[in-house]
Parts: sequence; structure tokens; C-alpha cells
Amino acid sequence: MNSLDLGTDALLFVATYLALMLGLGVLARARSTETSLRDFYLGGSSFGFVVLFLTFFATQYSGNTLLGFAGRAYQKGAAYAVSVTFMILAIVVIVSYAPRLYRLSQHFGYVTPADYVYHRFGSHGLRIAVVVLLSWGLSNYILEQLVAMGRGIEALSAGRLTALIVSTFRGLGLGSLVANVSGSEFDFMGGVVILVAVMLIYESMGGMRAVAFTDVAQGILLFGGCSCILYLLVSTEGGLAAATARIAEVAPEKIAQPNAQGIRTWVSNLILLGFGVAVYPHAVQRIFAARDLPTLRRSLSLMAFMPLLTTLLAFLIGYIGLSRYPGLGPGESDAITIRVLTALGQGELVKWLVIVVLTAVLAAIMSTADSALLSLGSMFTKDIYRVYWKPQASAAECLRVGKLFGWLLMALLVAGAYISLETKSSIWLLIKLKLEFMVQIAPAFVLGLFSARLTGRAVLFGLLAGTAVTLVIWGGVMADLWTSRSPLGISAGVWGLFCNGGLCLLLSPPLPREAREDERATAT
Amino acid sequence: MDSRPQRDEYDGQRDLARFWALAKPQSEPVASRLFLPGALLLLIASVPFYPLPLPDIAFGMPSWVWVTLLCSALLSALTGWAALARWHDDRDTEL
Repeated sequence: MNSLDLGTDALLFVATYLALMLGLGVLARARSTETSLRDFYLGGSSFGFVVLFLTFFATQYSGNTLLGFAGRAYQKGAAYAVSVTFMILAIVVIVSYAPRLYRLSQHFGYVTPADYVYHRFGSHGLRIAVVVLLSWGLSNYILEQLVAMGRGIEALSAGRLTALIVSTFRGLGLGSLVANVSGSEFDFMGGVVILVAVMLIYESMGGMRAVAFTDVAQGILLFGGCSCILYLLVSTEGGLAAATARIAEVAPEKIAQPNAQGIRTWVSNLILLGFGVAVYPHAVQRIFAARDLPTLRRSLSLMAFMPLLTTLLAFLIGYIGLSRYPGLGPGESDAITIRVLTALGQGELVKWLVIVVLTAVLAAIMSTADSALLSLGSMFTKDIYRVYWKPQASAAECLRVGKLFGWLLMALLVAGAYISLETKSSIWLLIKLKLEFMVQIAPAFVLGLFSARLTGRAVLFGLLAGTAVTLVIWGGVMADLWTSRSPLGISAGVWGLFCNGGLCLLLSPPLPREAREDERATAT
Repeated sequence: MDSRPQRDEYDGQRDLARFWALAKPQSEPVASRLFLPGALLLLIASVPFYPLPLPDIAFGMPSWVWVTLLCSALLSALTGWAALARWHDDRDTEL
């Protein structure tokens, strides 16, 4: 990569940031008031406005946004302006269902999304199916973050981390193990392992409270970094006008208004991302974690504007990157953010700005990965271990099991990050792999909170059918039966969702007259 | 009906009558006549499927991109307003 060499200052800055994260983990542990799943996984539902907003913000915007979305904008050009709209649509959907879910969570003490699902539908099969789908989605989500982490550290380190690891091995008398290592070979995996270790330590110490405290630091870094870069991007090298002129020369189709197929893909992305992101389990758990209604209301209200900063920035980075570095493949375009940032200019001020922003990218990635991991741990302990495995387990035992589960899962996912590095999977592919399945739980929330008519059996059949349709379309591509995962430009997951939603409504019997009147009264 | 919040963790109980009785807040954004219809209109307008009586490029970007971004900004404003002004509950106080 033809990047600006950020020197050892970059690694020192990241090391300072990591030390701060560990300190916040210790602070969160000290603030813990009791040994309970609600305290560990929801911070005792005590988050005020600043913490809740910043934890929503840092969790929602991640390696996906700053690397994956920018890479996709690079490939798709101006048509990826849809990313700003679908991230706002996700907040529209959350603001639609959150009032009911928040109220219910306060009355019934939900800890995980599956608590609501079981309470509402009373189906063990549905609870397990929801946990499996969410776990699949979250595992992929964490994998995306690990890949993004590795790429971020590669850019910041420029081979220095590899040199540090090699000299450490030699110092320990294990030089023969790294005899053939050169350049920046260990930067990616070394960075992943160090960041994951720090994340696991602070998360195991303080649970959701630690995640939220670190999210505050990460959110401030991300907010400040994005604002500076947005300004620099549109004010240097001719800004947007020069970028558009260059794209018009090298790839005019990427600034043209979408054709019919492009419009179908646009709408498909709106549905897939708008509804999929809205039911992220860690976002749902932040609704449960709010201290009171005004706090939640203000946080969500502000969140509605955040895509105009972060997603718009990712879009502009990809768009401007396309004008400056045309011809990159999908894997290379994932690193377009880093390419654009490190090429912003020379000089001490710009160098420090780039260091801060790249650390902010890492912060965004870590804050999302830690939230997803915590959410996975909570579902494993609360919805599986305590219900089907060991119902008499104490809270302390459940927490131990949850932490152990998190550590083991993380070890597997770090191995997955290495494999994904070898197979050169793009972050966008991992995003699709996650959301196309995860979106299938949207009817359970979006319809389930408003219609008493919807039954657990209907939702379960809908979810299984939607997942099967998605799997068949993906499987057909893998088996070379057809070439596109998006027939007619519409994502496999959206075809699945149509089938899912249709079955939910068809298989739910009409309510008796009395119940219909009750439902109407509830709805209005 | 006891409307006090339960601070214990959910333990698998199922009382659907209580579920539905407690589900609805005093007012919520989806009940507003402006929120969902307005959001739907803005979403439709944000999709660039129609010709625009504007120059191809304006302020350094294709005009249709600006229309999408403008609709998105309006959607943000509508959502922010709905969350703040159309969502109230009987325990609408800061603890």
C-alpha cells in the first residue's frame, strides 16, 4: 500500500488507547453493584443519556461502516448513496417498535431479545431458532470486525508490529519460529490477537458497563475523527467536484442514475439493511439498558441524524477513493478508507489527524465487536444454558459460563479471520452473509409487537421458510447452479423475508371478534 | 393492573393478557398521522427512479444523489421529531 508512514507514534497512540480501555474495564468492575445477569449484560439498566447515546452510536457504526460501506461505495459509485437512507430507515424501524419493547422490558425484566420472543409467542422452537439465527449473524458480525481490525492495524503499523513480535520471539529464545518472517506479515494477525485480548479482558471484568464506558471513549473519538475527515475530504484536491469529474472520465456508469435493475437493488438494500440493522440483538439490548424513557427517547432522536455524519462519510470516502484510485478489486477496495486517509497529505498536523482517525476506526470496530460478543454470551447463558441445560444454575455460574463461551468463540473467530484473510473475502460479503439471515427475525419484532393475531407457529414457519429460501439461493451459487445471490437484483434475504412475512400473515388465524376489538383498542 | 416495573430478570412466565395490557405506551410514533406516512413518502422520493428537471451535476455531485441525501436528511428530522414529540408514557420522568 502506498501509504503515509505514520511512524512509531501511531503504535504508541494505539497502545495508550488500549491502556485507557483496560482502565475503563477496571472502573466498570468497581461500579458493579450485584452478581446478576441483568447487571452484567445490561449494566443494571442504569445508562443515562450520554452513555446510552454514545454506546448506541459506537455500536451501530463499525468496521462495516467505515471500511465495508466505503469499499462498497467504491465499487458501486454514486448509487451507494442508498447507504445513508437505509441506516436512517433502521432508526425509523427502531423508533416504531422500541416504545412497546422498552415498556415491556421494564415490566417483565427482559435481558435478551429471545426473552421477549418467548414471552410473546411461547414457542421453544421459535426461541431456539431466533437464538441460532442471531448467533450466526453475530458471529459473522464479529468476524467482519476482526478482519477490519487487522486491516486497520496493518495501516497503522507498517511492519513495526511484525518487527516487535519477531524481536520478542528472539528475546524468548524462540527465534527459529519466526526465522522466515519479514515485512508486515504478522501485522494483521498480531493486531487482531492484541486487540481481541484487550477487548476480552475489559469485557470480562465489567460486562455491559465496561462495554458502555469504553463506547463513550470510542464514540467521542469516532465522532471527532469523522467530523475532521469529512471536512478534509471535501476541502482538499478539488473536493467533490474534482472527484465527480474524474469518475465521469474513468467510470461514467458509476455516476449515472440507476436503471431498472439498479432501482430494484436499491429498494432491496433499503429493506435488507433497514430491517436487518434494526433488529441487531445488541441494539435491542441497549433499549433494555436505558435508565428511563426520556433518556432512550433523546438517544434515539439523536441517533436518527448520525447516518448523515458517519454513513455519509463512508460513502464519500468510497466515492472520492474511486476517483483517485480507479481499478481496485473487491478485496482491495475494503482498504480504500485507509488508502484515502493515509494519502490526505504530509505534515505533522495531518499525520496526527490521520492517526487519531485510524484509531477511531479501530475504536469503532472494537466497540461493535465487544457489544456483539456480549450479546452472544447473554443469549447462550440466558436462553440456552439456563433454560435447557442447567436450569438451577446460579447467576455467578451463568456469568462464568458466559465468559468462557465468549473466550472460546473468540478463539474460533480469530482463526476464522485468518481463513478469511487467506480467502480474501470482502467485508460486504460478510455483511450480506450476516444480514440476509438475521433479517428473518424482523417479523417477530415488527409484527409481533403490534398484532395479537400473529402466532408463534406462524412466525416459526415463516422464519424457517425465509431462512430456507435464502440458503437455497446462496447454496445454488456455491454449487454453481446459478450465478447471482440477488435474482432480479433483489437480495436472497429479501426474497426470504417476503416469503417469511407472507407465511406469518397467512398462517395466523383471524382473532375472535372480542379479541379483534381488544386488539384494535390496543393498536389505537 | 399493577403498572410498576419489575426489576427482576424475566424467568419464562407467560401472561399474554398482562403482556398486551402493558404493551402500549400513552402515545407512540407509529400512532402519529405524520410519522409512518411521511417516512414512506420520503423513502419513495429518495429512490432515484424518476427524471429530475435539474442539471446532471450540481455542487460537485450528480443531482439525483443530492435529492436522495435531502430526502434522507428530512427522514432523519421526521424520525428525530417523532421520537421526541410523539412518544410519551405514564412513567415519563427521569429517575
